[in-house]
Amino acid sequence: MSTQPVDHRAKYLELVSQYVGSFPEKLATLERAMADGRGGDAKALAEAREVAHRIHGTAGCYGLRELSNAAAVLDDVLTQMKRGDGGDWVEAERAARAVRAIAEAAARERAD
Amino acid sequence: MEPTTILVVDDEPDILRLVEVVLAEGDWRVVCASDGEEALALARRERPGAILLDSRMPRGGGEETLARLKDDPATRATPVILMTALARSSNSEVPPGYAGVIPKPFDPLTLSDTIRSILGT
Repeated sequence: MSTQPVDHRAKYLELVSQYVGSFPEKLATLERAMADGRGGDAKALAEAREVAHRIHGTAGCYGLRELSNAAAVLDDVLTQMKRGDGGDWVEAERAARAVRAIAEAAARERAD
Repeated sequence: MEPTTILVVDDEPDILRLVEVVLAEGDWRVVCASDGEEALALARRERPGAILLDSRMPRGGGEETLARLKDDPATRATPVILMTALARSSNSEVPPGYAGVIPKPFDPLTLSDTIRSILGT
C-alpha cells in the first residue's frame, strides 16, 4: 500500500505551520508600512498594499481562506487609496485589524 | 517514465515552498525561479514541459517574461500558465499567450490535476 497521501499531508501541515509562524513578522511589516503611509509616505502605502496582496494570494493556498478574504478587503482599500479613487485610512486600519485578529486566531488554533 | 519538468516562477517564497512540495508529490520534477530573469535562464537550460508564471514579479513581471519566452525559439512552444491573485475566479478569461489561468489562492491538493487538465495531459 502506498504511503504517499500520508507523506503529502504531513509535509503540507509542516508548511502550514511554518507559514503561520511567519505571521508576527508579516503583520509587523504591514503595520509599520501603514503607519508610514498614513504619515504621507507614498512608497510605504505601496509596500502595505503589496504585503496585503501577498497575504491574500498566499494564505488561501495554505487553507486559511478567512485570512485570505480579510487581506483581499485590505488589498482593495489600499489599492483604491494608491490610485486616489477611494478608500481612507479609517477603512484601511479597520481592515488591517481584521487581518491581525484572524491571523492571531489561526496561530492560536494551531498552537492548541 | 521520466517526470515532466515544470518551472514555477513566483517571488513569494511561501508560494514556491508550497508549490514545490505539492507538485513533487504529483510526480513533477520542479524547478523554481523567483524573478523573470532567473525564469528565462532556467527555461532555456531546463526545457520544462510547462511554466507556472506569477503575474507580478521583480526583474521582468509576468507580461514581460511571457513576451521574452515567446520571442525565444528555444522556449516559444512551452505552455505558460498564469498564476495570479488579480483573477479571483477560476472562470477568468485566459489572456493571450497563456495556456491557462490559475487564480490565487488555489487549492494545493488539486493543483497538480488542475495543471494537467490545462495541459490536456
